Amino acid sequence: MNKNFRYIGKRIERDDSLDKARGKALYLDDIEKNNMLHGKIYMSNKPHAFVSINKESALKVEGVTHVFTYEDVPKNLYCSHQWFPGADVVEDENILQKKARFVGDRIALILGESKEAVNKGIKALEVSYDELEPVIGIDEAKKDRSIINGDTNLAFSKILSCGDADSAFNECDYIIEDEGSTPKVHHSAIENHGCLSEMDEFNNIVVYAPCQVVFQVRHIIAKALDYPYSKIRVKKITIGGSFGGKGMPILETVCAFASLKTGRPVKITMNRSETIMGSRSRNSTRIKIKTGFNKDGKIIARKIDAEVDGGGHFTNAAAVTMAMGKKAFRLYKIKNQVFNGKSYYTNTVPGGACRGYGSPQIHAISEINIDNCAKKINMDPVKFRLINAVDPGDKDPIGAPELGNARIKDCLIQGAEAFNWVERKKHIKRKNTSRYSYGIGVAAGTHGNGYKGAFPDFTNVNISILPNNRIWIKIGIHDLGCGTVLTMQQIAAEVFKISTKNIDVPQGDTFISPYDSAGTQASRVTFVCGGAVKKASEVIVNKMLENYTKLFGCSLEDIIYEDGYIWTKNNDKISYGDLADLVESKLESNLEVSVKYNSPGNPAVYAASFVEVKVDNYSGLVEVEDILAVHDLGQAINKTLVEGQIEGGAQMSIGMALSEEIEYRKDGTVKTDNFSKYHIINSPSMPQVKSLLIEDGEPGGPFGAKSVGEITAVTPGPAVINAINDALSCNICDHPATPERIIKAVLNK
Amino acid sequence: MNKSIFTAPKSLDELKTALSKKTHNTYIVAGGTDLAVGMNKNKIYDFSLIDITKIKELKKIEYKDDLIEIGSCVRMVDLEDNEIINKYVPSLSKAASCIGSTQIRNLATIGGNIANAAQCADTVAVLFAFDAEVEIINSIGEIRKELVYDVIQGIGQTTLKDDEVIIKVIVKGQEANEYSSFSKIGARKTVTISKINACIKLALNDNKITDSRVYIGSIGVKAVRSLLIENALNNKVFNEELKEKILELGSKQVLDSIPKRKSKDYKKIAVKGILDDIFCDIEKRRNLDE
Amino acid sequence: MEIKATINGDEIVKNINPNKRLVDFLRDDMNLKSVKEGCSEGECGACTVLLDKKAVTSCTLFAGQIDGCEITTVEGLEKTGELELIMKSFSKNGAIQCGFCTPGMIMSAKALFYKNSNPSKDEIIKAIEGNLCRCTGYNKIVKSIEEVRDGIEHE
Repeated sequence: MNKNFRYIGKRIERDDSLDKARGKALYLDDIEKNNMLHGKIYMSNKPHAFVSINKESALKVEGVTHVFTYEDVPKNLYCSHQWFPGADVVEDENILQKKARFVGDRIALILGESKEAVNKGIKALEVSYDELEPVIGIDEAKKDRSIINGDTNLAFSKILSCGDADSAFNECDYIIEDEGSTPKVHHSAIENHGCLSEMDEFNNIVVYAPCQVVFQVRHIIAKALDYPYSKIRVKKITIGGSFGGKGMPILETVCAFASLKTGRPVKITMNRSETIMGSRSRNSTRIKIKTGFNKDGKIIARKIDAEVDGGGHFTNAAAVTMAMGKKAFRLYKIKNQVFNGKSYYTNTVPGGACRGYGSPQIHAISEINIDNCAKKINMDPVKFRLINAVDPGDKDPIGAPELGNARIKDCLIQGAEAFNWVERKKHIKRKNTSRYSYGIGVAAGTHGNGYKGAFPDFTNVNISILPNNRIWIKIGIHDLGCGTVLTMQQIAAEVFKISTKNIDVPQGDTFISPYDSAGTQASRVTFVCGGAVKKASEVIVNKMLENYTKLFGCSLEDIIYEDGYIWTKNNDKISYGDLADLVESKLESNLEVSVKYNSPGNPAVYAASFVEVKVDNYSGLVEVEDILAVHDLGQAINKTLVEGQIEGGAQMSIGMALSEEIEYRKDGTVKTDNFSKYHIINSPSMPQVKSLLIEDGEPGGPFGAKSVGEITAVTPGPAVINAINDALSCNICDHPATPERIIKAVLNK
Repeated sequence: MNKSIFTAPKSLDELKTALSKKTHNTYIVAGGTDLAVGMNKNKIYDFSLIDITKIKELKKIEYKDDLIEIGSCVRMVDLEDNEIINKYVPSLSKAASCIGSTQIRNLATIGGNIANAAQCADTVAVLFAFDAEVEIINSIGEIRKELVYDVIQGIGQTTLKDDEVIIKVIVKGQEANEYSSFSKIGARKTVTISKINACIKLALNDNKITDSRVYIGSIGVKAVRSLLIENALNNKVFNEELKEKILELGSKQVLDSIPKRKSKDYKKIAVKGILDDIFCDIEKRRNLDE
Repeated sequence: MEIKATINGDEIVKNINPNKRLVDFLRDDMNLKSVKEGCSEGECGACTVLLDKKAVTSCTLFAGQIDGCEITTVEGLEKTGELELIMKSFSKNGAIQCGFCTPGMIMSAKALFYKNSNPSKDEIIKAIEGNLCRCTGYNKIVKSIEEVRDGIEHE
């Protein structure tokens, strides 16, 4: 593969960072509109109850203008997870609920002339609850004593399988079973949730949303309000982090309703506690894995039973269960495997996308189990993984798209070498003292590149070359902080041979962006949207060259174009912009193309992490002393951005392994309702992350690139847990491995 | 209708006057790290404040007649950096340095740490071990002294009356042959609320412990004095062997203090960690002295 | 109540609601939107500003308490030219992703440099212990601050 790139892989700086540093970038809460009303959601204090509300006392508060409840809103049920009308879901949400299904559920909206008035209104509102028995946790849900929706708490179940696992277990030399749990994780974007909307002069509802899928927000609002798609303008604005958390509309329907009803701009914001309790979370799970293998280390059969806590509304109950199951078939060659996934309604915060979408959960347990299999036959865990890992070009055993250029073996081999795995494994115990135990661990993982094979995965791009020598790319992308805009700029720059500084890529706006089928989620943007930008750039460059031949009477082969200029031996350099000008003046045309691009596939990405930990035998606190993260990402579009993803993904994954959990009390209230109790990894607890990139090119991806953002949050955590289990010779499978759990494991040894 | 009044007295005399006008709706604010957060959380807007941070003498640390006087508005960062505290009450510097984040230590005050009477308050275990006293002023300008140990009655409960404010903490600094240290354990390495903390103060004569004070926090409504450990320390030679014994007694102390609490299973082990830290720190300081 | 304070170099005399939190006063009354609110309890550091050159969380103070004090935000650093080096270092090193924590992070770094012009890596890490970032894993932020310490200039 030609690697003499001008822009691809380069450490180019992003356009937006200086304004962010200067405090000039406007986030949702920084925007004020004339005549704007402030809004606050009254969230249920009870996990499972019919609510009745007396508005009077709140309306008496000076400055409170409106109080809305279930009685006031349209009764069109929707599912906030549904990003296009064809996605099969259960619609069980209202703009405001009559029956609260979790502490934090939306039951009223208070509007007022100031934040203070609204807060006083919230405090004054009289709410009475007709309480039902709360269902907290999967075990409680399974009893079906108290039902949250329909006639059972079982929201979804599905079996995926290949071969015949049940009979294959009989042929195995060994069988190892493990059971573990993963927590509800708060996305912890430092910006909380918020939304602003207003009516424009044409009676369009304009919604300013820090979101991931403008067309999803439009669809859900259209559905909830029964308002035409064409009159809903959703603009993605600068976002203070999302990680999946701002994927589903939480406030957008309420906000749009309020503007429609009052005719005024309305801004609704949530604080941290409200965001933790009332938005979405990573689904918690309980997973049982049974693996059968032979004495040579070859896995023969595997059975996975996964139970998912879906929370109070259906949302992603089906999607996340399926996502988990599918990943189980794409990392190791396992001829006989069955995945049995079930998700349940509970009276807790609903599940939503969260970086990795099921992959962090399934790998958390499966990678511990793999280590235990290796241990059983005294085989090095890297070697055990290598024996079973998939190869490039392998097919998916359950019929999903092919794995593509799957380089997990390279990740493991090169990673082990760079980490000095074999030597360290031999000597690690020498570091032990009476106070501290040391261990090393490895974990592998896989993730996808979009929706191809499951849902429509296409996008539209419109590109023009403008007379001021700027390239204008319209595509429905959303920069969530990852550098999506720059990624598109670099891909286009490579094709155009022009600096990224000349390329403008505005973000998603349903009145400007051409339709995109699936938004900025599912690790699809670099692979699918980047592929689309590359394709469309090629089309328009060809158009530019053809027009040049018409204007200058030369052949295509004579044309040289570089750095934004185009010329031939006989003609002076003119800029692309000058050419655009000439095309309009002389040819009565313009340099503009629209291209629809369908994803060419859904290859897998792979990663392996190698970790050393130091465990305090007394406090149970774990320090990650060293971490190497290896990623098979095809081709880095921008190395700085890629490292940023890897380092940030490690922070999230280590947090899930060690300290992060939204904890519920039996009464359904949330214990960990702020950062003083919900502990994400802070600077002193964060290791320096070393990253190693395997850049072997993915044939379907733009310049060989595939995804990296989500897979980064998959393997560090299980590698940490495997290292802890190595250090303490125990088998911790429940997440997070808090100091209490670690001490308990040591005592129970 | 309650009118919000904000008063920032500049002297004790002005403070006295402010206290005399105090209503049930008036709050004393120093660092603000708990009050401002609490008011916002509880959506309270109509209240009056007496800001005591503008009183210069409450921000001083002075060595007077063998005693160290610490103004109640002295912030954690001051305790951390101050040479007098570093020298004479090093465990207080250590405790202050472990509280919250840099930003919080730049605001939070020693008076606030006492008056809030949190179960896990880090400076409090040290102040107990040093038999520290506080000076309290009231609305008619009377000043009374009370042991910090007695001021704190329970979680969030103190002997402070409505018109009273802590103005000073008085500590007798450690002698040349005395050592003290503090350690805590929370949910992560830093910026964390203590799950358990402790302070030990020792007098050493020729490597023999002649006197000791041991307080362990978060195993009772306020830090608990461990006579069990003190008795085991007194008249013993300070060495590794003694440390091992003390760690075991730490576990026993936890079980004695919170026999029924679920957290005992963890704390009985974790306590060994903080006692180990404290021993190592004292050992290090001793080696530096020699 | 009327307060007199120096905000980003300007001396102001202003009638304010002293019961407001400092973060609300700075954002709503002074239009200093660099000051972000992330947790409202002093845990995330997004609202960090300098109070007499020391980093404090502006959600844990009442506005009335700044009477007679000096407050600095990144808007103030930009005015004096002090933002230049650090902002470029952050940008160049990829220390800014979503950017929501960035102004607070920069103020903590600045406070550190006021106290110590040659901090070690550990001191840098400690100075930002109260500034949470979910995007970067801190590595690139620490590196950026180290480069400012070392006087490395970026274009």
